[in-house]
Order: sequence, then structure tokens, then C-alpha cells
Amino acid sequence: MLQYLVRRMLWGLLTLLLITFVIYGLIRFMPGDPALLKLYQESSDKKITAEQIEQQRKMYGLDQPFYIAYVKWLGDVLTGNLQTSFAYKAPVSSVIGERIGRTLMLTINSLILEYLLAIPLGLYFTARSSRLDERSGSMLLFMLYSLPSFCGALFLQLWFAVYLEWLPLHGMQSDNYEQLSTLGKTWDLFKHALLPVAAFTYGGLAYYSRFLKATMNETVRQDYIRTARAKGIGPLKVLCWHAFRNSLIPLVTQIGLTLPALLSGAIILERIFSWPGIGTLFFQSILERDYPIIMGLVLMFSILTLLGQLLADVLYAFVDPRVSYK
Amino acid sequence: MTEPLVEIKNLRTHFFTDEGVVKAVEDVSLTIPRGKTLGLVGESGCGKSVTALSIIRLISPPGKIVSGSIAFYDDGRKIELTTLPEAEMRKMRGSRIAMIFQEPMTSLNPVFTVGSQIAEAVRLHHRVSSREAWDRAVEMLHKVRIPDAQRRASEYPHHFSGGMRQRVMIAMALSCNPKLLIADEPSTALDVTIQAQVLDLLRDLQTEFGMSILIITHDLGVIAEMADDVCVMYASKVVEYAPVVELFTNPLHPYTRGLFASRPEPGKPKDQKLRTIPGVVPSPLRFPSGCKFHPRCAYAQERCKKEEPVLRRPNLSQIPPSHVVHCHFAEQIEEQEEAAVKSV
Repeated sequence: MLQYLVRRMLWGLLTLLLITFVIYGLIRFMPGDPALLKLYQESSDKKITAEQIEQQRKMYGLDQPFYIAYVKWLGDVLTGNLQTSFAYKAPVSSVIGERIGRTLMLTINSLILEYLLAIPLGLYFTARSSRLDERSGSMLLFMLYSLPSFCGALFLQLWFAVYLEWLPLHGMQSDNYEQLSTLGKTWDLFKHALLPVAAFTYGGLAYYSRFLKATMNETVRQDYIRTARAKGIGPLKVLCWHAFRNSLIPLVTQIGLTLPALLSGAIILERIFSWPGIGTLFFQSILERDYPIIMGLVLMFSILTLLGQLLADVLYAFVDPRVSYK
Repeated sequence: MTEPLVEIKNLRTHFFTDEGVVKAVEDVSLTIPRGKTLGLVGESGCGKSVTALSIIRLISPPGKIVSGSIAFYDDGRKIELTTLPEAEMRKMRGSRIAMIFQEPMTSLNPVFTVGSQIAEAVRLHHRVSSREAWDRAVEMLHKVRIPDAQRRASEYPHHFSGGMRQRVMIAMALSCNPKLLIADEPSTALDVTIQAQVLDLLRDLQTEFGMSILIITHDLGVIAEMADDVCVMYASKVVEYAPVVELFTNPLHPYTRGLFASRPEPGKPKDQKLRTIPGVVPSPLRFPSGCKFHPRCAYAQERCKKEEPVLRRPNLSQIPPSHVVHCHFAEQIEEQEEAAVKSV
């Protein structure tokens, strides 16, 4: 197992090098010059000399070909320095670090909710298979699954924030946030997070409960389920122990794959809810051609993707005794 | 006559599918004697497995026992299985009636150790600690002659070969001392030497545990080796029912005759083709009228197309009363065949 892990890690590192190199190249060839952009923002009279541009480009390291700049970036990364953001004029790690918690607050909560609700729902629908409540419930889940999250988010905003006025429309804090007590602050945050979390959750909830039901439908037809029933085990235990334990195998593989989505899936929804997290930062940094930030986030997403796959494989061996890595 | 263990009377089990009602078991009556083995033989789809699943009440929807009775005699008590509440039936399963299946490769849960799967059955029906249940599991694995049972109990099914898995299934089935063991094609999926070992094991365990066995097979060799009584099924019906030696010496129904004639026999020239029964098994959705075997029967007459025969004792002096057959012309066919043999 250890040997397998080490081998996988080494392959992962190689993949990481490739991903970052290709993306570094791609963003450098993207139209738009961060140096020019910066100067336009800063100069009042819109008169910029070639000298100024040259100087700014040199400061950003844009005067060198992208592969040399990449090697320099890589060298910095290896010493733990993610370089300095063009736009924020602060170290990339601190810019990301400041926002990562806000995004995780949405995504981790919604992931927990998804599983917490999807598993009992999937089991219930398996037990009630082809009855009226299961048919209508599955129909509803299918509709939710088909509804893109940005659409769902707009409906949620329209209904709960605009029409009912129960919850804030967007943002993370109210204007008077600083004046609130600790309890008040928590409550304020909770109210702001409710709609984004709901928008994050419903799609995954629909997906996982449908996925679990489909897997369970397959599992309950297996011969060993008949064996379990022939032993005299009750239907609930057959379903929740003998069948579910087997359906857990494909489900667990999915968990690993959701790891990168914890951060990357936030881009659109954070924009809609004006949530100052990683997604908004990523979007902004692309608009502003803030190369160090883009690279920092790409590096983080890539590591999470690779780790997620590794986690899926390790969990797989953990839940399925037939799988072992040698 | 001593009290039987199970008495099935006029059992009908139908499947209500979208294409129509599949009458998988029609008017089947049979008796499983105490401590003896009843063999249920027939082609695929003739209703033998559904009969067995009806006894243990594991017919899945859209299947349903429509009518008839299944009486289980337990310590002088008569238990009617067809109307027993599901909770009571669950107590019977595994403890009084156990079942092993054709597919040893897929019949064990792949994610639990074999020991825990046996121990689970034990704990379900007896108030014992998990330690005691585990010891019982090891003991059972030892009884089914799995070498190194102590260690192998904590292995997973994929560590076992097909024959070994069937032994595990037998160990699990017998762990609660059932009165009846239903063995649905227990050796079909195994290769010949392993088959013989599993059958030997079943016979030895029957002597030791004293349970009755209902063995389902399409293999007459298995019947000859295992069964005391034989029930031949064709197209959801019992067509012939007799003690094993009687059936093998005097097969009466044209279908049974066909089965015996289609067996390879030692001594016959190798290049001689095996005889077959012409035609195919009818679809249960479109059974022929009258006797269901008539389209394939060499002796069929007008009456066979119109009138369904009843299961009856043939009017033949050499046939004992325990031998019944489902054919209008059993006597005439027997005389014809006798004459044919004499003329040779």
C-alpha cells in the first residue's frame, strides 16, 4: 500500500508539472497585457510612454519568454513563495488564504448536507420502489438535477430575498456587521449563507440520491441479497446493511472526486451571490490578468484534483475487500 | 405412515407480468418425508425453483402464491406456510427452512467475511454472544470440511473457489439445524469432481443432522445419487412422482421416458447420436391446450389435445401405489413399449 501511494504521488507530481506548465503558457498567450492594464488604471491623463510600459513589464517579469518565467515561478513555488499578486500587491498565499475559509464555509456545509440527506432519501426510495411517493419524488429529484445551479440560485433569490424578503439578496455580511455582537454576527453570517448553501446543495442532493437509488436497485437484485433474505434477515437490515454496504463502494469513489469541486464549483454561484470567496477571486483575477493569482489557484485546484483521485482509490480499497494495492 | 415434514397441496404460484399471467406453478402437490430427500427434476423454467421459493416464501413481486397449501410439521405442530405472517415466516427462514443456491460465486456477500456471514445467521435465531456465534461458524466450516477453518473464517468470499463457497453456503444453511434444506441446483455450477464432493458432503451431513432435503436439479445422475423420492415437473405441473428406484426402472410418462432415453449410457457406441425430445419447452405465457406435453409427445392422440390429464395411479399390476403419473395413456404406452422390447 505504501509503495503504491509513493508511486501514485510521484506520478501526481509529474502531472502537476505538466498542468502548471501548459496553463502558464496558455495564460501568457491570452490577449490582454497586465502591465498595460495596470498603467491604464493608475495614470490619470491616459498618456503612457513606451518606457513606462517596458518598466512595468519588467517588474511583472513579462519581458522574458514564458518558459523562463515559468521556471522562475516554479523555483519560487518550491521555496514556498507563490509570488505577489499584480492587483492586490500582496503575497498570493495571503490573498487566497483570506478567502478560502469563506468558500469552504459554503461548500463543506453543502457537501455535508448533500450526503446527510441523499443517503436516507436514496435508501427510502429504494425501499418504496415504484410506489406513488417514490415515483413523484424521483420525478422531482430529476427536475432538480436538470435545473442548472445558476437558475436555481436566481429562483431562490427571487422567492426568498425579493418576494418574501426573508433573507438577504447577496453579500456575506450586512452593512452594520461590525456593530453586531458575536451571536448577532453569527446569525447575520448564517442568514447570508443560507441561500448560497441551498443553491449549492440541491443539485448534488438530487444527483447523489438518484445515484444511490440506481446503485441500490442494482444491488438488491444480487444473489447474496436473496441469500440474506433466506437466512431470515428482516427487510430493513437487508437494505441498510447487506445492500447499502455494497452500494457504498461506488458512492465512496464519488466523494474523492468532489474534493476539487469544493473550491472550483463556486465560481458561478459566488458571482451570483456576490460572495467574496475563491470563486469570485478566480473570476476577477482572470479579468485583471493577475497571473500569479491565477497560477496559485490553478496549482491549488490541480493538487486537490489529484489528491481527490488518490483519496478515492484509497477509500475504494478500504470499503471493498476485493481491492488491494500491491 | 409417519408424519411427513412438508406437505404441499395444489400449490399455484403465478407471476403477474405486463405481458400476462405466468402460471409458473400449477396445482403442484408433493410431500417431503422426514429425514429423507425429495428430488425435483425438470428442464429450466418448468417451475421447480419457483416451487422451492414458494416453500421458503421468497417469491419476488410480481410473483404470488395464488392458492394451495404448504403445511410444515414442526414438533407435532402443523404450520401453514402460505398464510403465515411475514414476521413469523422470517423466523422460519434460516432456522427451520434453509436454502442453498445454484450460483456459489455470487451467493455470498462480497464485503463481509464468510465467518461473519455464518455467525450472523446464528445470532439471528439464537440468543448467543458474538463470540459463541463465531465459534459456531468456525465449527460449521470445519463440518463442511474446509481445511484450516479457524483462519479461513476471517477471509472474504473472493478468497474461496466455487466449490469452497458452496461449502460455506452449506455451512451457513445448516448453522441453525434446519429441519428442511432446500438445495436449488447445488452442484450445477461446479465441475464434476467438485460436484461429487459437494453431493457426498450433503449426504453425510444429512445423516449427521437428520434434516430433510429438497434437491432441485435437471441432472438425473444427481437424482439417482441423492433422492429417495422423485418428482418430475414439466410446464408448471408434476407429470410423474415415484420412489427413485421405481422411477428409474419403470418410467411411465412419455416425458420421463424421453429424459431417460436422452442420457448418454456407458457401453453405447460413441458415434451414436443421443436421442432428444423433439420441440421446445412451451412458453408459460402460451401453454398448449389439454396435456401440455402433447405437441412434443410421440404417443399423443386427439384426447391429449383437448383434455388435461390428472395425476393418477396407473392401472398396471407391476407398479406400486406410490407411483403416480400425469398421462391419459400411461398403460397403453407401457404395453406398447413392453411389446417393442419383447419383439427385439
